[in-house]
Amino acid sequence: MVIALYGFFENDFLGLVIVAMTDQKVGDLAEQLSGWVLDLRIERTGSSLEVLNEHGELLDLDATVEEAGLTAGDIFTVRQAA
Amino acid sequence: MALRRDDWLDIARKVDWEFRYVDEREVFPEVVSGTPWLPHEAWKDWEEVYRNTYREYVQNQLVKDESVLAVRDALGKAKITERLDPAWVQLAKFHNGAIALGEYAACLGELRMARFGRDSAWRTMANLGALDEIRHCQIPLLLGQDLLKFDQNFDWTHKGYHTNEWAMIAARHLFDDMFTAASAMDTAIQLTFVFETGFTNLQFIAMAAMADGADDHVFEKALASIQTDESRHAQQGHPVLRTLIENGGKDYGQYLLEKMWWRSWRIFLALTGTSMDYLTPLDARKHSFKEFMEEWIMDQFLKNLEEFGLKRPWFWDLFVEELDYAHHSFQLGLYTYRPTLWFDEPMPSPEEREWLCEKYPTWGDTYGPIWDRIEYSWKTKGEAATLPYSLPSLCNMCQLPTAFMRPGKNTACTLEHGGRKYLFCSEPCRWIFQQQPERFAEHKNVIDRIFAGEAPTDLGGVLEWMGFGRPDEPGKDLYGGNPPWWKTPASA
Repeated sequence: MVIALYGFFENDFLGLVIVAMTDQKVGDLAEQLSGWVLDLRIERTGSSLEVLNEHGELLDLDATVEEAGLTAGDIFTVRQAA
Repeated sequence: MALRRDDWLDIARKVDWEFRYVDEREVFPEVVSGTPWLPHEAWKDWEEVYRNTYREYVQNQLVKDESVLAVRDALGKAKITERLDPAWVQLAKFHNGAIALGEYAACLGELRMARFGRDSAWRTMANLGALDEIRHCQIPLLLGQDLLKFDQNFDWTHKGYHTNEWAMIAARHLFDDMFTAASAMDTAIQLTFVFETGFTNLQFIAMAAMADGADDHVFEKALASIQTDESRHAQQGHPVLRTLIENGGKDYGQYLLEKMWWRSWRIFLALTGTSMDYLTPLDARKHSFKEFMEEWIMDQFLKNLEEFGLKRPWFWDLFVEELDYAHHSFQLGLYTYRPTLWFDEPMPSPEEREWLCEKYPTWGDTYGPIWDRIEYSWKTKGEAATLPYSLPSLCNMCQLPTAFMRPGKNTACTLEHGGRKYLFCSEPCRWIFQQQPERFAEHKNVIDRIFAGEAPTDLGGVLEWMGFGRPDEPGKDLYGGNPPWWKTPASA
């Protein structure tokens, strides 16, 4: 199923709409969002990406969107690992 | 013997009478007059300091209009693009589009008070307020018309309010809540007490001082002239709030004040904050937006709260924190999504960045690197690398982009209501929604409309839907990606 999510990249300045499939991997979501932000507005550090839900909990990059508990209209944050 | 003014004024202004054939509640229904409904006995001492008569009003306005028109005659014909800083010209377009027809809408709010305000002195003042608001629409329309021959986008002075452009939807959403769809009592507190007494000094007096510094004396005169009206008709709010509080409505007064303070803050940071700190020529910046807010808005507002025994809004700490961040992140949004604006946006020059670092000590670490990346993208990859390729998420309350991130903090949050999830830029916006979900839940923001199939999904279609017709109409980088401070031209 296709759903709309709102992705925020750490140290960027706004949230972006991400159209995602519920069976898509969380790691793919992170790549999708970072493609619109890294190198354009935020410098790429080369570190791996991490994804957090609205409550600040780290999500498993190999889990699907549905397994990670993300539903239509949810917020997630992507950051470059320290 | 001629009567002195004070001998007859109250007889003319206080013309309330007892109704014999209808009930007072039928004449002033609660739904449009305001809740809690109070008998006229509670309102009979309503008073404000100006106590203008219509004759005095006309005399005063004539002098003010003549003064504005004289400056326009002397200076207004000169080519604006030659006599003014190019960023300031964008500010004038931004201001005109966002304000002119909003003032006309405010006339509807004043007229509701003129009919359903609960005391005749209030209704008299509101009648004059309605005339004021028409004037505040007429002045920018007249000046905007003068400028059309130099820049066609000044037609947004008139058309902006009727479009689906996202910022205009945000303005309409706010103004509907504040006065076009509010009772007379709520309008008095929200529009005149919070918005006009609280905030418009910033837009009309502080901005007038900056216009003077920018040598835009037509704009300066118009703004200052408008504010003299605002400060008069804004006096309606005090006696209404006082009557409400004296009659058991303190909690409701506190609620209206908190709701509208936050909503006003959101629109002012978006319009005034970005204009003052990014579109005003450096040598015309008297203070930073934050300094103006602290000196002109916060101090006065807190004094007003004390006067009425009201508390600081529960979100005060967040508001104070945002003074250092919110309009800066919003400016990045304006710049990035410039094709959805009716004016152009510049990147800040090195001197402006220095000034921003001085005024906002965290700016250099927070937003400086993002501007550096954007500038680098212009130089190395051209314009395409500086444009957005995704839709921004928008708040379901203020309708603005959820653009209030800063290091370590993202204020965006969600709420499940009626089987769907709503997105908010901040907790105060979510709180406002939660107080009256039945009022706000059905409103679709631009993103909701796109997903509902009510707006196009392709960029060209969306821009047309937003009101951009001509190819040169959407906003651009002010200097075409080749700002004067670069020694070599951009590769774009």
